[in-house]
Amino acid sequence: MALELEQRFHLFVASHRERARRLAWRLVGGDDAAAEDVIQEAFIKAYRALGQFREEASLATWFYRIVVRQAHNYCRWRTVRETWSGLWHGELPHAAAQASGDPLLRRRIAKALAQLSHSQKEAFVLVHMEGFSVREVSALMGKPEGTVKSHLHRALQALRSELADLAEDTGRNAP
Amino acid sequence: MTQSRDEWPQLDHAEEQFVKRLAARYAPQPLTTARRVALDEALWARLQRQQRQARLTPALATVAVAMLITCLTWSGLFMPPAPDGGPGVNMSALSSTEPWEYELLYARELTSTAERDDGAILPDDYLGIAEVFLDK
Repeated sequence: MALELEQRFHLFVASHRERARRLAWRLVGGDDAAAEDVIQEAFIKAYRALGQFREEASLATWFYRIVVRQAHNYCRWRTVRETWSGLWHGELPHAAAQASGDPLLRRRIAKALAQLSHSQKEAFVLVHMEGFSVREVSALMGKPEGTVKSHLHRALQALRSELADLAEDTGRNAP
Repeated sequence: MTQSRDEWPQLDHAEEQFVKRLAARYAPQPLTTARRVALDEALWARLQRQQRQARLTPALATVAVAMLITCLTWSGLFMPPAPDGGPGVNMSALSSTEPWEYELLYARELTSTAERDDGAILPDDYLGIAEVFLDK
């Protein structure tokens, strides 16, 4: 029974590791170490709850909800820490040394995302960057679909205004 | 996680291009094999550490409760029992004191020295001795 559980967990980690890491990375502002910490904690919680979920789909929905919540908690904790330590000067931490593409542009995108409300950022990243459907995000965030759509609309408007040059870009700097 | 196309918000061409560019430029590098192995090892180590802690928790809780009970009962072990069986100071020594001794010892606290006349309460033996030594 324990062996079966471990095998199931191995498969689950293998199939969700990359997407969960990418999602966490985007939600925590492009910090590799923080993203890995977030997904490790989420996987541990998934391991404990594995027996309660018979269907892979419901476990996955629950797991991504945990990832989003862990990332949210991490951002909140970081904000408090930086406020108190007085070290925050508008710079985003570590800004993904291992990411591909232009680091300055990446930092600008992270900063623009950080200016959105948590719900707007989560909805935007989940739907437009990670390809979740509105219905799935509604289940993940525990909010009505209409609210998710409203968050998406406002987030898109704010980002297009903040990153106007990227909005007008016709693909010159594609990676 | 099944999806159908009509569950996505409708974007115009410019918005769609913008979102695509954003997603492409704001992404981590894919995990290399070595990094993936390191991540998995760290995950298993963390999982096992937490499982060990979970196993130790009941034992630690038992020890803590035992220590608490010991601390609460420790002081009671060396306190003499009260006559009625309850906790408190043993008053047996005080209760054996004769009334005249008690009055002699504690009456000074109740009356001033000037008003005091011990002769009335002293037994005859003491009065005899007092007469010899104190010229009474």
